[in-house]
Formats: sequence, C-alpha cells, structure tokens
Amino acid sequence: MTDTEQFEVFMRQYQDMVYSTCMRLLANDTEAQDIAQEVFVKAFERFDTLRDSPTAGGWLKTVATNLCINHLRRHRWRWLSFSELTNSDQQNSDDHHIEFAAPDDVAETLARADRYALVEKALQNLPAAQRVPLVLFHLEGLTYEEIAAKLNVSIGKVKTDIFRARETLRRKLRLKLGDI
Amino acid sequence: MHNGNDQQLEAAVDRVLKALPPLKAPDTLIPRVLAAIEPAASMRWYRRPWQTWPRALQLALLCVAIALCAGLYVGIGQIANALRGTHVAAQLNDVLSTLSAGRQVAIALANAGSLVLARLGTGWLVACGVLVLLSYAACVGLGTIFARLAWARNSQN
Repeated sequence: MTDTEQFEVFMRQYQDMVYSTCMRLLANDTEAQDIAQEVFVKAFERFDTLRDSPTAGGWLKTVATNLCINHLRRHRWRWLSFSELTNSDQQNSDDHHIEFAAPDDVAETLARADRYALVEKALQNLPAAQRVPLVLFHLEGLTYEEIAAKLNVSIGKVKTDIFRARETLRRKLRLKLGDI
Repeated sequence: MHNGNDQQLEAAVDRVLKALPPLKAPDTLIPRVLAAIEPAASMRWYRRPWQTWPRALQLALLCVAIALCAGLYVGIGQIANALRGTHVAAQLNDVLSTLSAGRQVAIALANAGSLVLARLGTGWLVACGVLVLLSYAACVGLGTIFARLAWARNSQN
C-alpha cells in the first residue's frame, strides 16, 4: 500500500470528526470543507509521525480548531457584526424561565436523527460570537480562560456569550431540563 | 434559584451537544484532499521539506551532518597545526620567484597570514567555520521562507 493509499485510509477514519469540528465552528459548509482540506494537507506533511500516533485524533482536532479560529479572525468584520447583534433582540426575549421536564417531552416524540438535525440547525443558526465559544466549551472541552485567550476577548465576554448561546438553544429547542 | 437554573441549563446543553454524532463529511472531501496533496505526494523525497522525509533518512542525514561538522572541526585543527609548523613564507618565496612584481606583496601577505594563523589558534578558526556554516544556513532558511511565501501567493492566485 502506497503512502497516498494509507493516507486515504487515515482520512476515512477521521474525516467526519474533522469536518464536524469545522462545520460546528464555522457553520458554513464550503468554508468547513476548505478548512478540513487544509487540516488534512497539514496532516499529510507529517503523516510519518501521525499514522501510528494514538494522539492523531487530538492533533487533528486541535489543528482544525485553530485553523477555524484563524479563519474567523481573518473575517473579523463578520465576527464583529455578529457580536454587535447579540444584545438587542436576544435579551428582549430572555425570560430566564426554565421549563422542567414534562412526561410528553418533545424529545420523546421526535426521532433521534431528527432531533440531532434540529440541534445542529439551532447550533448553526447561532451568531458566530455565541456559537464559537459554546462549541469550544462544550464540545472541545476548553475552559473559559482558554477560550478567552484563543479568541482574544475577555473572560466576561466569553461567559456572557456562552450564557446567551445556551439561552438561545433552550428557546429554539424548547429544551426542558432534567431528563435530557 | 437563578444560579441553579444556569447550572441546570449548562448541564442540559452539555448533554445535548455531547450526544450529537459526528456530521458526515461530504464525499467530495477526500478527492479534494488527494488532489491537493498529489503534487507533494508525487514529488521525490529529496525535493520535499526535510520534516516530511522518512524518519530513517532524517536520521541518516543527521548522522552525516554530525560527521561533517566533526570532520570540519578536526580538519581545520589539522590544517592550522600544519601551517604553524612550516615556513610558509619561504615556500612561497620559491614559487613566486618568477613573479617579480607581486613577489614582495605576496610574501608580506603570507607572512601576515601565517602570523595571524599562529596567533588566532584553532578555536578562532573553528568559530569562523561555524560562522560560515550559520550564514549559509541563514541564507537557506530565508530562501525557503521567501520561496514558500511566493508559492503561497501563487496558489492563492
């Protein structure tokens, strides 16, 4: 098996994970594919060390995350415009009332795949300024401090954005707490 | 109460997001990557960046580099010792005897050179050799950076 063939096997193993990371951070299919491609091109350059490495997945995820954040930084105007949008319309509808689980929770009536699709859609519809820190916190396992450092914003802003993102998800998904 | 709700919401969102299965990558991703790496993959190993060479070749090159450095160190020392022990000026006098015009100048330079070599010692010679090597490495490094920048611009265009 040639190097390229081995690399193709390697890509098949990790392509969904890399693409998911990019898609959830960027919420744009074309850009996610571009960044995923960049990640794998970088991986090919060091395939000799990655092919048998047990940390290859972690390496790919870190590179994907960093490239996505760099990509967002390059398009800072969009980032800022999203940040500015977060205050007005979202806070008006924040009622801070949390619904608790009911026996006929919506999750029980939806097929699991549909529910995943709903969550993905809600996530992708979040403004970038909320989605990125939320994904970094919940899916990448970064702390508030690490996120603030990565995004070059204050810890307070990170906490606020993540809180707003959770509230938005709660409303959009009619998230009921307790039995999820 | 509010804090309790926040914690519950955090936990709920965490569970919902962590339960998400990975998204399926589009079928076009692998062909795209393969097309992008094809030029690099088809390139011979010695034309690729050193970091991408096979590990065995990297180690071999490292050994050769160390051997070259050691050889250079020993060689320069030997040459310096040999020059110190011979009458360079006298030898040059014989060789250059036919060249009357430049003879005196050459003898003076040779004398000065042998004096300098004798005074400087091996350490300085080795330092000069290392300086030359470092300068060469800097040239190679800068050249690589400029080439990569130019290559990146070309590929963006």
